[in-house]
Amino acid sequence: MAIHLLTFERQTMLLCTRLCTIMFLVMGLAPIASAEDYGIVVKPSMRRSSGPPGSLFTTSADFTMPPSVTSSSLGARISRDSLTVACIDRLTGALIPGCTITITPEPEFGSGGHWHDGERPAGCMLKAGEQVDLCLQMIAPGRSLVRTRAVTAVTGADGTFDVTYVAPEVSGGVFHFLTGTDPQGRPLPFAVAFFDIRIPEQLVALPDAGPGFVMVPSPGGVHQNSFAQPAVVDHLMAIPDEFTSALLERGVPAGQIPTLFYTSLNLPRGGLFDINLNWRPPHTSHRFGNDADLGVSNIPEAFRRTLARVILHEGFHFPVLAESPANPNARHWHLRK
Amino acid sequence: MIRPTHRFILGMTLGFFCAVMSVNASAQVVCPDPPNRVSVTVDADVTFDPATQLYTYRYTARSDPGSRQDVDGFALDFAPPLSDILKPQGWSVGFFKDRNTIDWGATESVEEPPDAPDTGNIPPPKFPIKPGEAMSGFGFKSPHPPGPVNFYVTGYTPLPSAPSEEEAELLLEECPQIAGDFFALAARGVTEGPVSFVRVEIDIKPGSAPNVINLRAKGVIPVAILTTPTFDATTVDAFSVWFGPGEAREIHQTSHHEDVDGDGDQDLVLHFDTQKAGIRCGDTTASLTGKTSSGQNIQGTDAIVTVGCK
Repeated sequence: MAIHLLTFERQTMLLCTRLCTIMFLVMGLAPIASAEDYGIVVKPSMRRSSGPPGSLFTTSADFTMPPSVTSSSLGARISRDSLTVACIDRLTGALIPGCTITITPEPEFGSGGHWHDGERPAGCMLKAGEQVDLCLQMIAPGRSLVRTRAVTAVTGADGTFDVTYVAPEVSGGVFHFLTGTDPQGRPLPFAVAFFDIRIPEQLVALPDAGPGFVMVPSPGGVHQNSFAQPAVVDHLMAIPDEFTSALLERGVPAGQIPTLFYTSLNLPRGGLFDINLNWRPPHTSHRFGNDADLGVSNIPEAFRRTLARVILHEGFHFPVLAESPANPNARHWHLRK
Repeated sequence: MIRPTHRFILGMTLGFFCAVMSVNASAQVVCPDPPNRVSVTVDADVTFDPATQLYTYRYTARSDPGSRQDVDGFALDFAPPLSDILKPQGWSVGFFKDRNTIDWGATESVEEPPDAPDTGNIPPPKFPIKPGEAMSGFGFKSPHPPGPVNFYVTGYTPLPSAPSEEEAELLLEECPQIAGDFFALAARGVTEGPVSFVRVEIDIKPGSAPNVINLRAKGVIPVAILTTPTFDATTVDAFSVWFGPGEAREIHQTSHHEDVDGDGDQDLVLHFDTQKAGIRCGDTTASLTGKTSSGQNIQGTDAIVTVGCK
């Protein structure tokens, strides 16, 4: 219950943060907006229209895309999406060349299941002609993580320019604030593009506890660590049932059957799960909703063969033991479905 | 005669080479053995009791002397229901979810000395089937008659382990031979078990004999389900059909009717991706399962010869 309350409080805080960010921009930027009727608009580049040049452009656009994967060979990909930015005469719909527009990314606080928020990689915006190599340190864990960068470009003869957004490995929301000036140097009202970085599959949470198991919260409550694909959650909940039945059949008294402790699963939207709070592995594969860690320190050796067999019956791969010389209590079996 | 300068350069070169080699060696992941280094045959003894209308199945699993691991698991496909399940001493019985496969596991383990450090791994089984030995005591009763069914066996090997979280996960990436579920990794074969299928005649690679399957080929394997006086192959739902141990689906998502055996009726021809069929080197048969449009299960088996194994 405490965890539910905590989650509720955080969700409320998250909503407030989002609203406050937009309010701040409206309050802060509106007074300096141009008296002219020019503005900044944006649309996905792939979306074409047979209508007037300005149709389909909006001042606030939402995008959904999967996270990149570069720190693991499993599902490795650079996830990118293109958008077209335009300067528009809001009265006539005409697109205006020569506007200078800056795009500044800002991770949405607390989104994607991360409650820590320092130096979160926000992905990277590339201008035409720029190579993805420029982005690698902004999307992927590395020796010298660069958080993000702003890009500035000038609308071309058609009143637009294209940029490509490369998603980070970390899931969550990323705002992109578009600010700039018209050809005469007068400030333009801002626009916002919001990128929801998430894996395509809808993950669900393993309950905090159930018959025979406990989902251990992340240390310090800095992550929502209990999410997985629905089928994976079902099978994780079935393991303790079958484990208990098998031990009872072997004559083990009910009071001696250990509780199973699941530790790290995945984050709500998948993506990189940085248990050390540095936006880097060691979790390389807990990002697609298929992986789970199961503590074994409390499982007597005499029961482990039964547990391993039950895990196989539920369709998981043969487990891999992750030892932890520094902390034997952290020793666990890595499960994958 | 080597000059001192040259000796120095040679030494430095060798030293650099050794350093590079040692770095590469330390970065290399050593893949553990998968739990399938066993060769097992399974003999079935089937009797029928007219009074109860039940078949009694008894199995003996024999591990070849060349097996490199002790057998610690034996599973078998079956048509439900089963009753009166038997298990050898020290073994447990379970069922795989979402499929009809019974599993016997040697779950009783060797007792470790009380002062032995706990590594977190699984201990060896107390009653395994050792190489060169056989074990009976597996069995059950079923209302279904015997037919060819797949069996699966696993060998004991400690769980793959790594000294850290990251390396444990990397093991699965670097060592595909240990990454997989039971059916992907277990050794397997065919024995007799309860089936509820209507047996149908199939012809793998119609028009060719023997039916040579090149396991390196990236192509497709044509399989014809033959229409006979007792079975109309055109009633088969092509979307329900699986072929081979890998349970490959029809690659074109369609089928066509053709008289492949020249008997004047229409047979059903399907195509399956060779790689997805999951046929392994040395397999001598391959089976197809599916349903008719009225929901009747069907199964057919044909002989094959595998090539391209080296």
